[in-house]
Amino acid sequence: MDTPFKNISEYDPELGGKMVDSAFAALDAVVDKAIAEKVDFIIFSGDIFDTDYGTPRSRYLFAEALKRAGVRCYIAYGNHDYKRKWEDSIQLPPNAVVFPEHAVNIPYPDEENKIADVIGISHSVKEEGRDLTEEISGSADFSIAVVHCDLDTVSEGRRYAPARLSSLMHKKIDYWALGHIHKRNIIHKFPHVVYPGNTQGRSPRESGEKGAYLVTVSNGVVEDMEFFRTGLMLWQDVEQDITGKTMDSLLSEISEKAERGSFLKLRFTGRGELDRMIRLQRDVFKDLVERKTGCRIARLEVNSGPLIDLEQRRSTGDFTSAVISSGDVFAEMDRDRLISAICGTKASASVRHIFEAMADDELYSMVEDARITLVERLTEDRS
Amino acid sequence: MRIRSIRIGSFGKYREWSMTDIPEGLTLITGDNESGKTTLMEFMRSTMFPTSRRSYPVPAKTDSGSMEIETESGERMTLIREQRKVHEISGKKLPDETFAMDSDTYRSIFAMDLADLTDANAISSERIRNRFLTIPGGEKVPQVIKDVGSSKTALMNEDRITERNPIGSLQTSLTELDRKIADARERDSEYDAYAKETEAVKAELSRLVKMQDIIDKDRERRNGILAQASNLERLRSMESRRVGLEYAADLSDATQNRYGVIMHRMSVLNGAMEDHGDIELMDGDFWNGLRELQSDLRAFIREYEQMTDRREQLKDSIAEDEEYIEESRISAELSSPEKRMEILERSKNTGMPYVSLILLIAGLGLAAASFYFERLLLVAGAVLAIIGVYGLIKSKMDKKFERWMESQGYPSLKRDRVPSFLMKLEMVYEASRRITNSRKDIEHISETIDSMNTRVSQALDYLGMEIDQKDPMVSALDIISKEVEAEEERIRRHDKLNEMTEEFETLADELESMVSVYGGMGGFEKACSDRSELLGLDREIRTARESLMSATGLTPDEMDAALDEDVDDSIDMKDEISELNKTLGELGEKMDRTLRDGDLGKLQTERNAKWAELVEKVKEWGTLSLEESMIDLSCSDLYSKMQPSVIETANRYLGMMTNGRYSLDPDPRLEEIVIKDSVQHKTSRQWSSGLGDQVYLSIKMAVAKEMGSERLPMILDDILVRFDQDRRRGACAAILDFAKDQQVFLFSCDSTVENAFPSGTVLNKVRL
Repeated sequence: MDTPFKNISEYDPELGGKMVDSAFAALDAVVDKAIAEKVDFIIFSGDIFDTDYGTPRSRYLFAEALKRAGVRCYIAYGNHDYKRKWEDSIQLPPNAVVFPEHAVNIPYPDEENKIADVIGISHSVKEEGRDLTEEISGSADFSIAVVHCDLDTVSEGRRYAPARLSSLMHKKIDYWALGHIHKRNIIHKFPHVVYPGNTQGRSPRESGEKGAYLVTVSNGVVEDMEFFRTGLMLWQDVEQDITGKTMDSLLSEISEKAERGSFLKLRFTGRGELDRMIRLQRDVFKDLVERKTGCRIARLEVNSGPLIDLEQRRSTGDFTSAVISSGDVFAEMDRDRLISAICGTKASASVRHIFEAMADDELYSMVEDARITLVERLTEDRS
Repeated sequence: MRIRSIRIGSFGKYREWSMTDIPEGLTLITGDNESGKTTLMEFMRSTMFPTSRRSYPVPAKTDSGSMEIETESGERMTLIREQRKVHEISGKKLPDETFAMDSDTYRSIFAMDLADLTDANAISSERIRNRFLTIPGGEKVPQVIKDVGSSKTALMNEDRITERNPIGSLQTSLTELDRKIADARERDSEYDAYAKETEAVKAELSRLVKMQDIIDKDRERRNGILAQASNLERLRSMESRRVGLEYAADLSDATQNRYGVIMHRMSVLNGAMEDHGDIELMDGDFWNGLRELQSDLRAFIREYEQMTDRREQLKDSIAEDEEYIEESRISAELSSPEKRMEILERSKNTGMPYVSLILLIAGLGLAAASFYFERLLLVAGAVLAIIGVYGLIKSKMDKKFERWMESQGYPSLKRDRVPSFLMKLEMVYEASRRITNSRKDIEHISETIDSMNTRVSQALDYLGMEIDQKDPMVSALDIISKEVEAEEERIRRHDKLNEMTEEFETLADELESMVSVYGGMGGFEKACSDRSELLGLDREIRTARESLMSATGLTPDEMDAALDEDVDDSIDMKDEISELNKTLGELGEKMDRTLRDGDLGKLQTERNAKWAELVEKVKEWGTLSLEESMIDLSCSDLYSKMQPSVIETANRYLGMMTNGRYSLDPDPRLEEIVIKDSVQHKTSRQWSSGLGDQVYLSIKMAVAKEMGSERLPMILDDILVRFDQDRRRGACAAILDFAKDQQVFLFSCDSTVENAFPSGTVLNKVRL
């Protein structure tokens, strides 16, 4: 909760409200499921809040949701909510159990009548350098570990609380309930090592169905894992080849792939006449796609190319060939020179930092984009 | 193509005028102002390329004439003009169709007066530029540049950020959103402060409420105390009264009870002693003797009764035993132990042991013999014989005993009944012996009774009592017992009287001791009364105290102190409590508002969206910027290596006219014509009128070289008027150069213009 949606380039207030509420709706969906299925307990493996954006409202709503769930809720904090903001002023209900900064075992339901050992640990700093799993060990009873960590096999970014999958195999833990990676992933079974992912995607990178796992344990063995969807707003990756396509056929194919109402990350590949329209009449084209699919285009990547073969055209000696060759010059520039070449005007100094913040791939893709677009312009038949 | 002849029937001021055998190369036509130079030029160009735009000279119905032209292939055409219409005499196509040239282009490139020369539109037209002034593919560059530039500008102003453009607008929005987010965060961040403040206010409120509670209770208590003031006064009055009674406090109930008991007891004793009067007792010795006698009599009577009972029993026993002996018909002498022993011996002494031994031996002998003879028969016969012998022997012995018994005086008795008979004899013997002993006892008892009677009689005599002689001892005992009882009663009463007297005296002493403390019985009884009052007063005081304590929670002393206290009724916390409650409500409202407030999330999402949009727009702008840069680089790169031939030719002409100072900037990105020297570039706005004429003339001549399917004649009407001498010479040299392979008609009002041509130049000169 709290982390705002990212990379939606067209904003309207109504949609914005839905986006903000969708994270809470996802939490409600988890609680609804827990109540309907009469679960024993719920596990939250960290990054429930984003401390940088956290609001009292989100913590209040979280506390209310836990209260509504009624069952015990095990909580381990992660790198985003390690600060435990608002903890003093808005307290969680008694059924919430928050793991401290060193691993502890809080058996369920209690030591005397326990049916499972639940061992957990929370982050103490944003960039937790410890291998938190080292402090965790299970028992002869069914043992669950709750930890927010970055397993070597699945990390996609910076490492937080690094851990090794191989070391998890010998800890007498039957189920590792992990947090940190937003993409759903069952890394290992018996013992189970599971990232359920987040409950609501918030950017084009977090595409696909989002939700949680309903885990059934019988006689000390994980019997079933049911994934249930909680995210109301779906982010979808759609890749479309334009080669040989007409506008109608292209729109129809996108419609078939896109789920109505979802946010699309639309990526075009191939070569064809439509490349020019996509590039030179981008807004018109986006509008057409959105009308046809009933989706919102959150991101449009034009990796397609013109019908003409740029390499062949390079040797013709005309102006277009000169443009193709000039692209090489920019593509070979170092970052600073390239950015300076882009930001040559006085006004552009105010946006220079945006280019400076771009990754190399993104920055240099602009060169290719410019080259292809320019070729499209120069070869456009305007008659 | 070249013009071979011109014939004017009527056109402007011309009437029936002609010029024939016009040579190739340069024809210089001079004439004064209004000599008809422009009219002639107009006739020539509007006849070759007719147009409706002509305004000079004024069209007339008489306009007519003809021109003979010859194509480069040698074909001749005669163009017949009637008013504006032109036709070829033999019906051939007119030059505009033949040479793919429209009249406007011809008039702006080939046949020009000074105004036409300086008309830049012709050479700026897309068609001219694309065809003559750019390299292949570069013709779209200006438009692309324009498109890219306008797109860039639409996104972000080149010079300064303004809100009219999306990037500027987004930056402004982001700044505004950042401010709103900061405000929202500030509101959120205040939540902790609100929570802490709420806790502090609650604590303060709790403290004040407690204080107010104390104040309220104190007031309530004080009111209660005041309400109990009269009761307190009554209590104090009772306590004062109690002081006067307190001396009786030590007088215990037990003492008082004891006093009552003593008084009552003494009264009773007094009455009882009076009732007893005087009592006279027996002499002590007499009394003792009497009691001893009574005791003896009782013992005598008990013993007498026992002996008489015993004597009777003995008599009964004797009678019973005698009756038994008589019934047994055996005298006592025959039952003596010696006699019984003899009978027993007699009954046993019959020789039977010898007989039995003989019989045993005989039996054993027979048994042994039976082993050697007829065993069974022999044994049977022997047994029968033995039985017979035994029977005979036994019968003889029984008879002998019976006879002895009879001889002794005993009844006849069989030997087997001896034991029971002996027992009977023993019983007879015992009865006889008991009779003897009982008679002795009776005799002794009778003697003792007689002795006792004697003793009693003697005692009574001694006492002088008359007794019933029939039963003297009983009678005596009765008399004596009555006397003893009477004396005992007297003794008892005497003892009692003594006892009462003693008790009375003791009680009197105790009473005296008791009342003396209080000054006698009167004082004691007053003390009793006072004590009773004291106790009642104590109860009342206790009740009053309890009542006061219950009502006020204070002891009477505390009440006194409380009543004496100076109380400040102005102390009150209610206003402060009300204010704090209000603050608490406001804080709660603020906290609730913060909890309900989802603005931050929306603002952040909106900011992210705006940021993403800004990044996208900036990327779009950056891509456009790169497109511009690529075009720049391409142009710079391309035109540094190659130029269109027209540009090269024009530069040559311009160089001739400006003595090599200026050349054209061939960059197709330029929307207007720019020249450059070694120092600077100059746009048309920086040209002098003469320089402009030279630039346009150079370009148009160069274009005229390339344009059309044939090299069309160039007609220049007074275009050198703004040239200085040097430039004019340069221009003339350029025109002469042009005219090497293309016909030129140069009109001039200046007759000296021919001097501007290089010396030795052969000119076809015409003077109008």
